[in-house]
Amino acid sequence: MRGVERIAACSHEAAALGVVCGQPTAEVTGLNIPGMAVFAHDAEADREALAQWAERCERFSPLVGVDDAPEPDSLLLDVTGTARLFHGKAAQGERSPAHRSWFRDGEAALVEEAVDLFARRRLRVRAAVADTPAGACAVAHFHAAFLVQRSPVLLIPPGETPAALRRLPIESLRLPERTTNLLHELGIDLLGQLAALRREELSSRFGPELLRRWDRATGVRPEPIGAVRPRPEFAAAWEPEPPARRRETIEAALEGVLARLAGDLLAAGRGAIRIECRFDCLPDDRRGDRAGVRLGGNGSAPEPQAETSAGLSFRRFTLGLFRPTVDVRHLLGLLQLKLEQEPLAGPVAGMEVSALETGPLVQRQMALFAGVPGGRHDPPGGDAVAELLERLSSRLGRQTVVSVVLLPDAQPERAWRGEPLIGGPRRKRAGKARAVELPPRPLLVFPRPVALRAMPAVHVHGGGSTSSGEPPARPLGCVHFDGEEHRVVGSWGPERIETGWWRGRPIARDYYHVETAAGRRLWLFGRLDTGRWFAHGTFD
Amino acid sequence: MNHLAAKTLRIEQLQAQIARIEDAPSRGNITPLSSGCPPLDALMPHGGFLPGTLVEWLAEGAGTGPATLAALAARQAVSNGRALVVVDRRGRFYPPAAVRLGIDPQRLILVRAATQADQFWAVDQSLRCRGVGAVLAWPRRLDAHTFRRWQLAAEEGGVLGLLIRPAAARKEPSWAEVRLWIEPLPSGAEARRRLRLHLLRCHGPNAGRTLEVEIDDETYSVSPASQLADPTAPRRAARA
Repeated sequence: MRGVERIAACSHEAAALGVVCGQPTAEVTGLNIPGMAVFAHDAEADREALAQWAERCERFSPLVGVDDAPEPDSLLLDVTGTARLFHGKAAQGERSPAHRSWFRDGEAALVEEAVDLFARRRLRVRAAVADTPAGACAVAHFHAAFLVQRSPVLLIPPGETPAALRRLPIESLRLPERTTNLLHELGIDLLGQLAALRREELSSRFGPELLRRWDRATGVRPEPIGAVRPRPEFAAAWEPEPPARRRETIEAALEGVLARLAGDLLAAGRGAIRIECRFDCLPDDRRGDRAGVRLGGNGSAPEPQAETSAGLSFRRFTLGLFRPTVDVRHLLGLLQLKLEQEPLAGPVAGMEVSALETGPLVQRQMALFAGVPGGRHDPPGGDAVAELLERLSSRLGRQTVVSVVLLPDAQPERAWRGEPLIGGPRRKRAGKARAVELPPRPLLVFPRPVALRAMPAVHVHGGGSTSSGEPPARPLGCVHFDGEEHRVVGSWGPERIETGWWRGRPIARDYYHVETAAGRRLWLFGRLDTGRWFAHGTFD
Repeated sequence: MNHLAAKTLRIEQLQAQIARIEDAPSRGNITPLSSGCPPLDALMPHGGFLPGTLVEWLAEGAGTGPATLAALAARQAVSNGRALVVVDRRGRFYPPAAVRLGIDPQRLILVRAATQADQFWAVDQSLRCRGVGAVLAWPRRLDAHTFRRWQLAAEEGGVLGLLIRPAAARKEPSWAEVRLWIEPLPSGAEARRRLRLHLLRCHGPNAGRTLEVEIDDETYSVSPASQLADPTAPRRAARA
């Protein structure tokens, strides 16, 4: 049936009360269960949340990915070799007989810590360790240990993944629905039954996809995990336990993290050009006392818009630097500015600072030479200005703080462009500005020319005359503009500005520099096509 | 030494003392910058504007010329390799005109502040920066607190702050070292525009003086108007 809202997912508690996935929502809400809440399903939000958790899980593995289902619900971690870095409770005496070698202990500890990480955000997960990503994914979704015994963790011993898979239903391979239905019609419900059939037969009857999936699950065919994001080369993190609330604590920790990052960078002879700082915030349970976790920020600061999802929110800041730096105090200052603009939403459970882009660290200019134009990356005015630019750009935005690039374009609006001074592709700046041989230009120009309500009774003959239509003649008379009436008493021009038809919206204007009776100087133009008049700027 | 001579000497000593007090002690060895407007320089006690101070240009309405004069002063202030920060909130500043006026675009930093708070902050930060030569901004409203902060910031950074404000600001208190009111005059259809500058506020004996200048829009050279300023113009108080 179309058009009926159905339950996409439900909690264990709801399932215990008889809620079934796929059931029409109305039936469930009709039950009137106290404390029950129904939310609209948002696949995109789920995907984003999963990607965030993937990043959070990077502490367990350098390679974290998300499964390839149309609506993914699993995180894939490559724990090969990272397990032995973990020593949980299992290694400290509470040794369970199932895990004998130190290697298994490490895996158990890692998984335990991972489950705990989610549990702290009140999220229930199933964690399975197997020889292949697809195998682990299948086990986590369909193994009896999860579905029947409700265990949070299952470790499949090395080499036993194919055996474990045999007891799982064919759905665990995530085949196309058509293939799954066909298999069921033939009485094949478990992967074990599938494994008993001849490979050639499987391929010819069900297509190559089935065998490919099976081989990936069993490890015959290797399957790479597509990392959610490449690991930055330089990064440092901090995870307080319990989550930090006090601004001083967070700032001190941030400084420590930056110092570690800077140390690594310095050792490699590199400086950061772009830095990402990620705060992992818990939901604020003390609503009345938000100021406690606000870094900087005053009472009127806007409510932060964090990327929120099940019990956590990520806050991400990116800093662009004018040139490679390892200056901890400077970076801290810039991040503090960011935090003042967008205060954190709740206690900080973790932070990570990574250098997304680095450059070779050049010897910093001595202050003595500040102001002497030097290398091509030097801003006007030296280091002090570089720091100013970084501060301005961090708080006001990259696009707000620009350098001026003059363009050889006849149309006044297009005769220049602002280019962000921070970040962006580093390009050799144009050399000495070419001398501009233009008639006078006003220092203030309206972003859009202002149409003049009534233009001048104009009589005196115009400047040049063209064959195309009637050019507006020299402006004289009264101009209504800026809420006032100005009488034009003198005019200089015209300066004809035309652009080619190939420009999409070509212009043809006669510009005049006029003086009003009060001595004000305006920049007006008449359109050659319509004869209408506009004010374009003021000689302020 | 007769009585009169002693009195004259004493007055001269006191005048020198006043001049010393009026110049904040930190400004001992600061070289003044030309305002880019020689007739105005002639009236300034130091022969120009002092880096580390604010200058206010007041004018009523559009097209009256304060930006041109301020930009000329800015050009002088950045001629030593320092940067010029233009904080433009209304998106009207037209850089090609500034370049034509002789400002090196490589020294120009344009801050397109979106709000008044951003504008205030950007001006404050830029005034504090030692690598900046001048800051040009158009603050319409300026509360006394912010004004004072800017003045201190300019002093800290040794930056010349050029503020273009509506004429109504005349009634407001000022933390600027120099306050000028610009009045356009009809040029009589001459290409050179004429402006009357009222020196509302400055140190020295010339506060309250008025001068008329002519600006050539081709070369941006400023010269005294052909006719001398009216010596009978009413004197204004040095301090508002």
